[in-house]
Parts: sequence; structure tokens; C-alpha cells
Amino acid sequence: MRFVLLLALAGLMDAARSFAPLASIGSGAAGTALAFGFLLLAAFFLGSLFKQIGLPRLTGYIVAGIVAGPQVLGLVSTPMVANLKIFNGVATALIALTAGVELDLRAMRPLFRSIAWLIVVAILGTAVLLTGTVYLSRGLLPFMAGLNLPQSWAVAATLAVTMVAQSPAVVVALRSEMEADGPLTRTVLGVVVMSDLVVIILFAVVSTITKTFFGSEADAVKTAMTLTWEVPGSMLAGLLIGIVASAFLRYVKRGTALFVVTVAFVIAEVGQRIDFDPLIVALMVGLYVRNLTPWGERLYAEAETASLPVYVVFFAVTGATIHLNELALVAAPAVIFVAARATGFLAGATLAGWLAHAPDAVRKYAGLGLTPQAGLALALALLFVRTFPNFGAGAAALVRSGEAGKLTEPKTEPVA
Amino acid sequence: MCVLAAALLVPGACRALGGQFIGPMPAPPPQPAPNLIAPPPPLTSQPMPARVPDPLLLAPPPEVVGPPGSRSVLSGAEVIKAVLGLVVLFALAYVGGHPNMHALERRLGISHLVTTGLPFVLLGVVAHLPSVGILSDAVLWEIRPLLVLGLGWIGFTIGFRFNARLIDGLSPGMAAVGAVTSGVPFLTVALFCGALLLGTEPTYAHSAFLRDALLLGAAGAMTAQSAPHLLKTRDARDGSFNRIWSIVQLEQLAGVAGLTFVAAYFRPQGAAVAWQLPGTAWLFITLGMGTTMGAVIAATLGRVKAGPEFSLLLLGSICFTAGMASFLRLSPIVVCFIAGVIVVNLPARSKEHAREALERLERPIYLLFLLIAGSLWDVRQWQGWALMAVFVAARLIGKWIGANASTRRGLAKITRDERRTLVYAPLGALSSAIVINAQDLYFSATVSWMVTAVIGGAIVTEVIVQLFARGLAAPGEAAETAS
Repeated sequence: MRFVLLLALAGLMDAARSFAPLASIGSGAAGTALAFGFLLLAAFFLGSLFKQIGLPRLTGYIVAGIVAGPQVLGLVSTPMVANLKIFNGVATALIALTAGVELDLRAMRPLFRSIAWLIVVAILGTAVLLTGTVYLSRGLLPFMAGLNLPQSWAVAATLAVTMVAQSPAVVVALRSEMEADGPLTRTVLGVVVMSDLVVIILFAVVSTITKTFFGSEADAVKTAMTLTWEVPGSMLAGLLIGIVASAFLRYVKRGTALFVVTVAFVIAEVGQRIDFDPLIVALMVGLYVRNLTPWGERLYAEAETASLPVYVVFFAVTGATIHLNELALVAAPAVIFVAARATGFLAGATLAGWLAHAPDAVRKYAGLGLTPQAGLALALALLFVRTFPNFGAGAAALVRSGEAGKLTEPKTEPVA
Repeated sequence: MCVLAAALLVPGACRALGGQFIGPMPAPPPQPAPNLIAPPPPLTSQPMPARVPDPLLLAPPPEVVGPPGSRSVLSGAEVIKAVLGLVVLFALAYVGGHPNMHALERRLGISHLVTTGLPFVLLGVVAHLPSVGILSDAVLWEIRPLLVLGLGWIGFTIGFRFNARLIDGLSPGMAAVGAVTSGVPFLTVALFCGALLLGTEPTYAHSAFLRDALLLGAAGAMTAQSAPHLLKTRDARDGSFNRIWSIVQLEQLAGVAGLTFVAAYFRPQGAAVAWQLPGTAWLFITLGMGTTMGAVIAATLGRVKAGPEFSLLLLGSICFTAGMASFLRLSPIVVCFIAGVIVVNLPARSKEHAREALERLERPIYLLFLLIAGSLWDVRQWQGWALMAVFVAARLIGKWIGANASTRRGLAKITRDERRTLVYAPLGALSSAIVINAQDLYFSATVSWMVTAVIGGAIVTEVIVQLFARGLAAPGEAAETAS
């Protein structure tokens, strides 16, 4: 029956799209509403079908986006997808909020040692490994032709930091879907959340240094001030919003789900425009409510209720934006980097687990939980393009090629 | 009935006035056909008179371009101001739609238009001021997907009330009373406002004035949901409450029918529109789309039980239906209304959950519409105020004639209290939704006039209710049977 409904929806969508013959159609309100409703229903039903055959719903959401998107059937046009990207920010903020609410620091205290080793060995170690891999593969990368030795190393390091970012979105969504809990899940969640902070700081530092090799005047003071504003500023803003949120949870009994979505929307839309990191802001809101107020459970439950439609559309839109044509262009280096990245995470996690005397499950499987790549990597790819306009586009395509990994990665996640 | 009459009369009237009626039309000029669909052949064998393109009706769909100024790029500061302002306004809408506020209004015996509606209209006016800039043209353009969803939600909610029990529970003759008390005001408002618009609209040579008159007629035909609460006698045994409630529902049906007709027969043309069909075909497409979507939604909602997944499917279904209607330049209210009627009358589980979810957001959405209506309200245009005066007077006259004709014709036994309630009851919130829908369907300066007429008319009729129908009525009259 679900399959029949999917076909019916696709048929109706195709009929509606035939009303507007222009390729540019769909950028308006009606097109946005149409695409949102269609992706919500189609992705949900395909996710249910995937669940029936033993695959995560998440994979179904992404596949629905790919198939319905401009690259395959074209039921959802490029302007429609572009308009629906507003959900990316909201989803990222909701995901970070959920991750923050899940991080009960007292309960996680025994895991801090493992988390710290994983960040140092697996994350930073993989960044070093990727730097070397990019440098050695520079012959395959046209945008690195003509660079001298220091410049090549600097660009390789910047790209490596961009590619080492993980995806709390995928980890949190899969954790919720699988209802997984235990030392492995908590450790991986702690690592992907904390390493986002590390990667943000690392990118700022490395890109500033790289600029000096290209004759730009790198202003260390300005970079430090930017970082101070972005990271501690975001944390402070998150704490303030957390106080407001806990007051709401205390005095208002209804409409919490709507409130949660509104908070996520404000964090996403306002935060990025004042150079706060929405991820950090939302994370701090969740951390504050979970660890300093008694409303953590309620916020978690309401966030889960509110986030389902946002997640479904977010992952479907992500599927629709996968650039299959770009994948073909950068296939060879992409395969090399994906392999290096996965190897770095798997080997690094095993080593870190051994150093931290972590449980067997963490040693064996934590690396798998680190491999998904999404929101932050894409944001850094865009930042890379802005920072290095001369060769950023080609490099960004390379980073985006890692998105395809999301199709296979969820299959490995259920071991958590 | 009146809609059917209008369907028969309007094409001829339009042509008689030298205007353009978007009925059977010639094929568009040959153009590249990306879908390999050949241009449709002429739909009539008779030669059509040469027509002057109507700029209002030739406007491409909002998919391609927006109204002037709508596409200006917002700066970061403007976005922040708009986002925070909208959050505050939406929060106020939520509070205004809270059941406690509703209970307070009931206790005081006044409609929500006065307690929360009017403040929201004024907030909309203020938010649209250039110095405030929260609801600027660019912001209004950006939040249009929300409007499409809101229109669909309202339509679906109203349709969801039209279950078989409503029809079965109608007292003898009530359907006829409903038809008369909505049909006569529809005609009087359309007639008087049409006459005024004919003389004031800049494009009187075309059919835009008729379109606006019919929209105003549809808006004026309806009565507020709170009308039964205006009865002096609310004793359930008396049956007055249920009778008035039934009539109010039927009047909403008349409003939706009017909107269906306007959206089907007054349509955009041009290269950006692939389906060049006559208005009657669009009428059937509207009905077919609503029915099909109703069946799909019923099947969809039957897949899950209550919970987040149910909410997701309800949201997705309404958004998809409303988006499709709006994409085809049909009314989301109408298509979702039909879908709602189908869903509620098909055997399915979870109807109560759906009803709760729909009604929970109904009032906040209405308030949001009033906010938008306020932002569209250009109080400086005298035509709007003139239209309001005519609209209110024509509606009152129409309601009075309709209610009295129902009594004199002996269509049903209604008390004087009921009759007075039908005459003086304020405008329904669906009327404001119709105006918002007009803004979604057509780019026209006259939309602002209609906003003034409908919103201003709603306030004036509310004042009339408070002054005359309640304060001056002698006690004891209520039980008196008019017939």
C-alpha cells in the first residue's frame, strides 16, 4: 500500500509540475509548499519501506531526495530544493539541541577519557593523515597545479581539516531511530559534538596560516577576535537562550514543540548572520537545560516530536542536492580521500580505545560512528570557496563528494 | 444556487461590458514545448472576438515573478529584525488563539475579532510601516509558503466539519434558509460593490472589477462561527443554537463555492502557463483534485496511529494539497476544503486525532491571516473606505432580505431572535482568509481595497452587533416565534 501511495504521489507531483513549462519554475511560494509536502510524504513512505527491508529510515529519506531531485526524476526542481534549504539550518540547530540535551555530563564522566583520546588520536590523527594524502595526490587535483611546496602543504592541511568534520546530524538521527544507548553511542555522540568545536577552531587557524603563503596579510589579531566572538560568544548566547527556554518549560505547559522549532529557527537564521555558530549555540541550550535544570527529559521529548518533519525534509533535501555529476568529475581523488578518512577514523579509534582502556565495543566500532560527513563539512566547503576564491570551487566539489558516503554509512551504524 | 446563477451569467455579462472573460480561449502562440506537448487546439469552433490582454489576468504565476519590490535582497540586519519580529508576532498569535482566550471571549459574549483580531490587524499595519519593516513586501514574499499552508489548513479544517451528521442533523428547511441567507447577501454585495468598482478600478474595461465583486460577495455571504453565541436564548432544547450553527456552516459552503468559481474562471494566461483550459475545465479540475487528494490523504492517514508520525503525515498532506492548488493557481482553501470533506466522510481511523490537530492551529492561523491582512491594508486609499461602506450596507441589506424572505416564504420556523442573529452576526474569519487567498491568486492594487472592505467591514459589523443586536433588544423577545 505504501508503494502504491508513493506512485500516486509521484504521479500527482509530475502532473502538477507539467503545469509550468519553464525550467526555472518552482522558486515561488507554491513550488516551495508543493515540494515540502511531497518530500515529506514521499521520504516518509520510502523510509518506511526501507525499514521493512531492514535498512534505516534515514537511508530511505536520502534516496527519496536523490530520486525525486533534479539529478534523477526532476519532480523537485533546483529552485525548489534551494528554497527548502532553509530547513538545513533549522535541522542543524535542532540536531545540536537534541545532542546537547542528550549529553548528561555527570553520566558521561567515565567516558571523558575515551572521548579525549578519540579526539586527539582519531580526529587530529586523521586530519594529519588526510593532509599527507592530499599532498601526495596533488597531481590529481587541477586546482593545486603550480603551487610551490609550502603552498601545497598549506592547502592540503586546510582541505584535510574541512574533510575531517563529522556529522552529529546523522549520528543523532540514527541513534534516535535505532533507540541505541550505551557506552559506544554516548562516546561517539560526545566525540562528534566536541570535535565540531575543535574543527571550527582548527579551520580558522589553518586557513589564516594558509593565506599567508599566498601573499595575503593574515591578521592574527583579527582571527583571534573572530574566534573569540564565534566560539565563546556562541556559548554565551546558548546559555542565555537556555535560561529563556527553561523559564518557558517551567511556566508554560502547552506548545513546547512549536517553541522548540521556533528557537531552532531563530538560532539558525539569526545566529549565522551575526557570525555565531548555530551548532554551538543550540548545543549549549541543550547542555544547559539537561545539566542545570530539571526540564531536560521534557525538552528532549518535545524536541523529538518537533524534529521529525524537519529531519525528514532535511535528509531528503540533502539527497536532492547530492551532485552526481560532480562526483564523476572528482571520482578518483574522492575515492582516495574517503578511503583515507575511513582508515584514519577506524585505525585511530582502535588506537584511542586501546590507549583509553575503553570497552571493546568502543575500540571496535567507534570509528564507524565517526565516518558520516554532512552539515559542518558543507559549511566549511563554502567557507573554503569564499576564503580561497582562486581554487576553492574545485576543492569544494571534492569535499561535497563525501556526501555520497552518507548512503552507505547508515548501514554500518546500527552496530551502535 | 447563486454561484450557479453567476456561472451562467458572468461570461455574458463580461462580454457585454467589453471585458475579457477567461472562459474558452484560443490556443496560445506556438512556443518551445519542453514537455513535447503540442499547443492545444482551439476549444471552440466559433471565431472568438479579438481581445485586449488584461494585464491583471496575464500576470505570470507567482512562481516566476513577484509583485514590484518583492525580490529586493534583505540585508543581514533586516533579516534579523524580521525574524525576531515575526517570532514575537507569531507568539502573540499563539497566545491569542489559546483556549483560555477563547473561553474569555465566550464569557464576555464578544467575538475574537474585537479581543484579538483587531489588535492583530493594527499590529499588521504597524509591522508593515517602512520605519518598522518587520512585514515589508520582501518579507511577505518570503513567508508566502506559510500562507499557502495556512490557507490549505483552514480549508481542510472547514471541510472536515462537513460530515454526514451535519447534513442528517439539519432541521427541515434549514438548507433552504442557509442558501437564501448566504445567496442574497452574496448577490447584493457583489452587485453594489461591483457597481462601485466599475467606476473606480483603473481597469474597468476588463473583468477585474467583476472578479473583485464576486470575491467580496463570497466574503460577505458568510457569518462568524461565534454567531450562535449571540442568541439571547441558548437553551439546547430550543434548538436555536444548533439551527444557527448549521446555517453558519452552510454559509461557509456558499463562500467556498464562490471562491471556487472565481479561481476557476479568472485565471492567468501567458507563456508561463502550460495548461490553457476553459474556466469550466478548471472547475472540474478543482473538484477532481480535491477528491483525489482527499482519497490519498485518507489512505495516508490510515497508515499510522496518533503521534509525531500522524502529525507529520497530516502536515505533509495538507501542504502538498495546498501547494499543488496554489501551483496551478487554484484556491488552496477550496481544494483542501473538498479534500477535508472527502476525508471526514470516508471510513477511516484517527478522525478525532485529526480534528484535534486541525482545530488546535485554526485560530492561530486566522490571527496570522489578520496580521497579514493588516500589512496589506493601505489605509490611505479612499476607494477602500468607500468600498467598506458599500460592503457593510449591502451585506446588512442582503442579510435582512434573506432572513425575512426565509420567514415569509415559510422555508423553516425560525424565531425572531434567530432572525436577528442572522442579520446582525459579524463577518466570519473565513472572509479574511478569502482576501488573503485573493492576494495569493492575483497581483492587484485592488486587493488592498478589498482588505479595507472586509476587515473594516468585520469591525463595523461587530460594533453593530454590540450596539444594537445586544444592547437595544428587549428581553423576552427571543422566544417569540416569528412565523
